[in-house]
Amino acid sequence: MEKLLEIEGVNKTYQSGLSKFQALTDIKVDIDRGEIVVILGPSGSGKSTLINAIGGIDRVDSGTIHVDEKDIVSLNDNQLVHYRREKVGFVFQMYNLIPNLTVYENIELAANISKSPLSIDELIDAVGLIGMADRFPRELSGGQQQRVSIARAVVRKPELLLCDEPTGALDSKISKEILKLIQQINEKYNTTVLIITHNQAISAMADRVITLKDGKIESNNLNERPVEPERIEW
Amino acid sequence: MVVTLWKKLFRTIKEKKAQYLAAWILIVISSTLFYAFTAAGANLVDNLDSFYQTNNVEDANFIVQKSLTKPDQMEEQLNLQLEERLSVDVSMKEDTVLRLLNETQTINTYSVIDGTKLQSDQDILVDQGYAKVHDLSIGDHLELAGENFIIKGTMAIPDYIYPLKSTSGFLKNPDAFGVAIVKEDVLDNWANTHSYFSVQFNQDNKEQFKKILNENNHVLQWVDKQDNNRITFIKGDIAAVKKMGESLPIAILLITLVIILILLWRLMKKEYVQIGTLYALGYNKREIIHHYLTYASMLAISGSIVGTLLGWLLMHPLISVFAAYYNLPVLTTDPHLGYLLISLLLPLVFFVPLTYILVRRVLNIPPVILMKGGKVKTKVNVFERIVKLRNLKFTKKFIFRDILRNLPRIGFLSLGVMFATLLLLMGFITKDSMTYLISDNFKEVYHYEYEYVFNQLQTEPPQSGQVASSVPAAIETKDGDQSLVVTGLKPGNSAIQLTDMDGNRLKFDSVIINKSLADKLDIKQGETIEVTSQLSNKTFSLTIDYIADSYLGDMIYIPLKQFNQLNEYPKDSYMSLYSDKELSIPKGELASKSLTNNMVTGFEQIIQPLNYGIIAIALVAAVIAVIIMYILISLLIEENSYKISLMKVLGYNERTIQKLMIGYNIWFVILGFLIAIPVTLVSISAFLNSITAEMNITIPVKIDWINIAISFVVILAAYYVTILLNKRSLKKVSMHEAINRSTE
Ligand SMILES: Nc1ncnc2c1ncn2[C@@H]1O[C@H](COP(=O)(O)OP(=O)(O)OP(=O)(O)O)[C@@H](O)[C@H]1O
Ligand SMILES: [Mg+2]
Repeated sequence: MEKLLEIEGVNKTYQSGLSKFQALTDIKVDIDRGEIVVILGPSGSGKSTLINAIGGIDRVDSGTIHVDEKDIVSLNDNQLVHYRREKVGFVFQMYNLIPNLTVYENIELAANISKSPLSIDELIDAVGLIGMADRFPRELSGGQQQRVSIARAVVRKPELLLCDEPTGALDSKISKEILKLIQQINEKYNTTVLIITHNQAISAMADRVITLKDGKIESNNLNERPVEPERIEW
Repeated sequence: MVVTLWKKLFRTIKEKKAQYLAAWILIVISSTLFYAFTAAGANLVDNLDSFYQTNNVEDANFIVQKSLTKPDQMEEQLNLQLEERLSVDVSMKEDTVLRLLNETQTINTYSVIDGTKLQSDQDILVDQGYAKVHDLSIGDHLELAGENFIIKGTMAIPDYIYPLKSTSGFLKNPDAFGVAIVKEDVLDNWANTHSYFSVQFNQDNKEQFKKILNENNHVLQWVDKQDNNRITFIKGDIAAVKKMGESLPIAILLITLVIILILLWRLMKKEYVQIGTLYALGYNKREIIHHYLTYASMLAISGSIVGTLLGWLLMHPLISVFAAYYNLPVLTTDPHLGYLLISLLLPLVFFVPLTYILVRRVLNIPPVILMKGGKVKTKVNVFERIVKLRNLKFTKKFIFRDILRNLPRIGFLSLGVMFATLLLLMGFITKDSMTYLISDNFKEVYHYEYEYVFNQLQTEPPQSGQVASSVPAAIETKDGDQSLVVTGLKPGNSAIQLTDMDGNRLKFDSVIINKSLADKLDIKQGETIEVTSQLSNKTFSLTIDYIADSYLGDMIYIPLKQFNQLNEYPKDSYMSLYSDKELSIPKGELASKSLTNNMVTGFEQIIQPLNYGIIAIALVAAVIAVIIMYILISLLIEENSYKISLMKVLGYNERTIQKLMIGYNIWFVILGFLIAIPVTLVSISAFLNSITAEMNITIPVKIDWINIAISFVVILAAYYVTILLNKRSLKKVSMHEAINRSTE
C-alpha cells in the first residue's frame, strides 16, 4: 500500500508564562492512503495538537511530517495555506459554521478557493441535507450542522480528512450516521481519514488505531476486521 | 474578495444595522460639512478675489489738506493710478445715512447685481443690503436732499463690499447705513461733498508716494487696504467659515474612527472561531484582512460619497446665503476638485491604516488559538485587584466591578460626550463672547452718542462736547506691521472710559494701550514701543503706563497735549468731538458723523443669524452625542449579553438589569460634560485668536451660566434618548444564550 503520511521524530512544547509543557514527544507514525485512522487517548494527551500539526494550522518544534512525500514542517506560511487548500479538509467538534451564511454558502466558502470542487448541490444531497440548502446553521440540529461541516470539508476532494471529535456533541444514533457518512466518503474518494475520539467503541470501524498518552504514542495497531459504523456497539 | 465573504459582510452589517448606520451617519455628516463649508468658502474667496481684480480694488485711500494739483503727473512719475472720489452723506429717513458716491472710471468700479447701469443724472444704484432693508426696488423714486432720483438697480463696489460707515468699524447695519452710486456730474454740483483719493500701486513705492504728498501738502487720513474693514472683513469671516469646515469634520472623523475600531474589534473578537476556521479552510491572511478591512472602507467610501453629494447640494444655498449676506455680485461656482477629492478620500485615508493595524494584530494570533475562541482572559486588571469591594452592598459591588472591567469603553463614552458638549458650548460661547464684546464692553467704554470728525484740524475750543484727535499708526513687529489708532484725549475726558484689568478707572494723563492690542504685541506695562504715524510718517516712542480692559479696535490713548507735540500739530488743536447730544456743525466742516447707538442695533442684527447657527450646531451636537452614546451602550449590552441572559434566567427583571448594567453610565456622561467646560474655554480662545489675528479686534471668551445649563439639559436629553433606543436591544437578549452558549 502506498504511504500518504510519514511522521518522524515530532516534538512540540507549549510555553505558557514561565512553564513549558511537552505536548508531543518523539512521535513517529506512518499512515497509508485510504486508511481510516482512529486516534484515542485521554484528555490532554496531545491528540488535537497532533492533528492540527498534520493539518498545517499549527507548527511543531522538530521532526518531519511528510504528506505525499513532501515535508510540510519546512513550508512557509503561504505554502501552508496552499497545502491546506489542496490536501486537507477539517471537521470540528463544534462544527464551526459561519452563522450568517446559509448551508449552501458555508460549503461554497470552501469551494470558492478550490480549482475543481465537487458540485455543491449534489454534495448537499449526498450528505443527507436534501432541501436544506438555504437554511442558516441556527435552523439546523447538531447532527445536520455536522453534515454541513463534513460537506464543506470534502467539497474540495481533500486527500486528508481530519476530524477532531466529530461526534463529541452528538448522541449515539446521530453519531453513527455521521460516522457512516465519513466512511462513505472514504470509500468513494479513497480519502484518508483521521478521527480523534474519546470513545473507545469507534475504533471498531478503523483500519488503524493509534493511542496517545502524555504526548507519546502508546500503541499503533492495525484492525484486521473493521466493522460498519452502524454495527458499532456504543 | 470571495463572493461568499461579501454575503457574510452584508449580513453582519444588516444584523447590526443600527450600529453601522450610526457610524455611517457620522461619516456622512463629516463629509457633508467638510465639503459644503470648505468648497463654499473657497468659492466665496475666488469670487471675492475676482471681483476685487476686475473692479480694481484700491490699495489705499487718503485725504489731503489741499486737493492734488497734478494727479496725472504723479501717476506717470510713480507708476500708479489715482482717482478722486466724492462722497456725501444724505439721510433718507431719520437716523439713517445713505452715502452717495460718484461712479468711478478706473479704481473701485461698480458691478450691477440687479438692474441696469447708470445712464442719466437721475439714475441711482443702491447697495443690495440697504435696498432690501428699506424696501427699495427698481423704478422707485427717491428724493435725497431735495434732488430726485430713480432707482436703476442694486450694485456692489469693492471698497464698500462690507458697507461700514467707518473704515475701522466692524458691524454693518443696513438699517442705518448704506451706499449708493450716482453719475459723476451729480456730486460735482452738490454742496458739501467731501473728497478723497483712491490709489492703486503698480510697484512698491507707497512710502515714496506719501513723502511726495507730504512735501507741500498734508495727509490728513491714510487707510491701507488691509486696515480697511470694508475690504478685509469678509475674507476674515470666510476664513473662519473655512476653518470651521476643516476642523469640525476632522474631529467628527476621529470620533468615528474610534467607534469603527471599537465595532470592528468587537466583531473580530466574536468571530475568532470563524477566522480560525477560515484559516483551516485554506484562506490566507491577506484574504481575511481584506474581508475585515472592507467593513471600514465600505462605510468610509459610501459615507463620503453620500456626504460629498449632500455637501455639494448644501454648498449652493450656503454660497447664496453668504453672497446675499455680503452683497457679493453674482457668483460662479466651481466644484473645487481638491476639496472634492479630500472630501471623498479623507474618511478612507483616516480609517484604513488604523483598522489595518487592528486587523493585523488579531490575525497574528495563531489559528489554533483563534479556533478555541482566543486566549481566555483570566487576568484581573490592576484596578480590580487594588480596589477591595468586600464590604459593599451587592448592587454597588456589581456596578463597581462592571465599571472597572469596562474602563476603556467608559473613558471613550466620557470623551464622546465631551466632544458633543464642546460643540454645543462653542456655539454658545461665540455668541456670549460677541455679546460681551459689544453690549457690555462697548457700552462700558464708550459714553457718548455722537462722534464728529472734522475735515481739518480745529484750533478754536468747541461750544460743546469733548475734544480728541486720532491718527492711524503702525508698529513694526517681526511678523510685519501691526496697525493701530493713536488717540489723544484730555486728562479729564469722560466720553471714553477705561478701566485696567482689575477694574480700576484710568485717567487720560498717561499712555494707555488696550488689551486687544497689548495681546497682539505681547506687551506689558512699562515697556516702550516705537509708533509711526501713517499720516506724517513720523516715528515716536511711547512707554506704556497701563493696559485697559477693552477689546474693540487696536488702540493707544495718550494725553492730547503729548499727541499734538509728537505730531507737530498746533497746541490745543483737535480733530474730533464726542457729544451726548446732536451738535449743529456745518456739514462742510465734517469728514464724518457717527452714532454709537447704530452700532449696538447693528450688532443685534448680526447676532440674529448667529442664533439660528447656534440652534443648528446644537442639533448636530445632540445627534452626534446620541450616536456616540447609542453605539457605546449597545456595545455594552452586546458584550455583556451572556451575563444579561444569565441574569434573566436567574429571574432578574429588565429594569433591575438596566440599573445594574447601564445606569451607571450617567455618571460618566456628567463627567464628560464637566471636563468639556474648561477644554472648550481653552480651545475656543485659541480658535477665536486664530480668526481675529487678521482683524483689529480681540474677542474675550465669555460664557453665560444659563447656556451651560441649557447645554447640560441637551446632553442629558440625548442620554435618555439613547437609553430609550437601547431598551429594545436589552429586551432582545434571549435566555437561550446562557443555556446554549456554543451556537455562536
Ligand atoms: N496553546 C496552548 N498553550 C499551552 N498549552 C497548551 C496549548 N494548547 C494545548 N496545550 C496543552 O497541551 C496538551 C495537549 O493538548 P491537546 O489539545 O492536544 O489535547 P487533546 O488530547 O486534544 O485533549 P482533549 O481530548 O481534551 O481535546 C494539553 O495538556 C493542553 O493543556
Ligand atoms: Mg482535543
